[in-house]
Amino acid sequence: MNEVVLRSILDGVVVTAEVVTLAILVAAPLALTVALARVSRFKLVRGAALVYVEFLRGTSALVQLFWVYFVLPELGFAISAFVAGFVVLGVNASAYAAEVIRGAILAVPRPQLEAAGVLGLSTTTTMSRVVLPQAWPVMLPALGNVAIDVLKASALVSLITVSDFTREVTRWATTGVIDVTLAFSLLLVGYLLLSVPITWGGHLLEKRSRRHLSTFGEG
Amino acid sequence: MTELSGKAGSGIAMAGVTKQYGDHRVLDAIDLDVRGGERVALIGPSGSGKTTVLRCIARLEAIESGSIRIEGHEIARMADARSGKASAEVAAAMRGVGMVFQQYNLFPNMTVLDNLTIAPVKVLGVDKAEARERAAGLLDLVGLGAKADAYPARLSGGQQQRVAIARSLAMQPSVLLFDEVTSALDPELVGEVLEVIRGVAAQSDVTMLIVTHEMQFARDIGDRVVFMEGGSVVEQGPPEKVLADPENERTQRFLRRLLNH
Ligand SMILES: Nc1ncnc2c1ncn2[C@@H]1O[C@H](COP(=O)(O)OP(=O)(O)O)[C@@H](O)[C@H]1O
Ligand SMILES: [Mg+2]
Repeated sequence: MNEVVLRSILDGVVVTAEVVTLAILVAAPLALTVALARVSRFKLVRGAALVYVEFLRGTSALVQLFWVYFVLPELGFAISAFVAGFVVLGVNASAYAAEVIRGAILAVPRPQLEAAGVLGLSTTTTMSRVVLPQAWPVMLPALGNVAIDVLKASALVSLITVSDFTREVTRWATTGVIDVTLAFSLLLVGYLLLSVPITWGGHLLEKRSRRHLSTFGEG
Repeated sequence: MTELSGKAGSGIAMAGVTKQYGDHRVLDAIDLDVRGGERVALIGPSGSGKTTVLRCIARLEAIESGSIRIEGHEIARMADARSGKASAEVAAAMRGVGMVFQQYNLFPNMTVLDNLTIAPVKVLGVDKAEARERAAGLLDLVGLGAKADAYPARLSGGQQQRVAIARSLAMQPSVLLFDEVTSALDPELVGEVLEVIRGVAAQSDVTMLIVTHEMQFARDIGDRVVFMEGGSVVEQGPPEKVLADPENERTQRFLRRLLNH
């Protein structure tokens, strides 16, 4: 494997890491907002959030990606492949993450809400100081899975010309520069390695977030 | 005692309160008054509706009909109301009502001190430093001055319940509701919690409605004992009368069963 090939593949890895990171940054605030909307007191807000979630889960990330990249320019909104890639992946993941966050919010024991209510805490204070901090460790493992799904789905951006890890490797494989077995084994191992920091970071965050909640462990 | 500037108001007045879970009538047009500064022990068999009475007063439950007044303000949450949200006036009246739960319900994600300061700071707008100082005083009062920075999970049940009492006192309530606050505790921890409640009662004139199975405690602390069964008040009066020489046959049966335990 010559240096040009290696360099382009490493560049692809960096692009994949960027796409995933940016997608997660797009997904996080959207997911939190939609999750809060899903448990809103107002029916209309709940309904709108449900439509958002069901729409995104009901249409595939690939079709969403194609639509944004190929149809939006027709409607007069030009968008770069890279931006379309991380935005679509992020918005798509936000639907799944919102459901995870909603589930964790609903898992906070009701007496906690009652204690907050009797103390007179507002809905906002109860959510930000009581519910979300307790929901956080509960949602982390499943959010980690959503992040890994983003990594795996990120290969889709190669189909709209983004030069990510998948696109660079397959480019050299299909032109016969590197062996097909080597190429796809490289992808297999590469994505696995990329998922390690996500899994590891998730575990670390979870452990940290639980440290005050048990009788044991460091204080 | 500066920490316990509990103001005696006109207390709690429940009139004709009916509460149903589906078809099951849990409170049956119950009348119950607790005068300002009075300590009432509420006793009765399991399932008689004692917890429900407290939860209705704390607005954790909506009622079908009747009236609940706190310091003269109507606060009942009506089942047929369009919104369960309190008006500003009701919210202001409820600020004077504290409740201590059987399972403590401390916020496990906060230190003991933060458990005590969050409501005064966020609800009453008390300055943070001042709230911390007052909280430290209250922790001393319940004998937990050294635990300010601990998280609830590190405390025994008795300690958690004492923190929960301090947390309710931090809002300077005029009315305190206690729901079997010792029944989740190991027997050897019951005494320390009852001692704290006795101390609060002695050093303030907070109105107290106390659901308890500890008859000795009910007798000591109660200005009055109320016995309820089947969702209504069966008998009430001075502790020595109701507990030692009850008139109603159902009260007699209840107390006899407790003694034979
Ligand atoms: N959330 C609920 N749903 C249905 N029934 C309930 C609920 N809470 C309490 N009850 C019923 O209401 C009755 C009174 O309960 P409660 O007030 O807890 O009694 P006590 O505190 O005196 O033991 C019981 O029969 C109980 O089963
Ligand atoms: Mg009860």
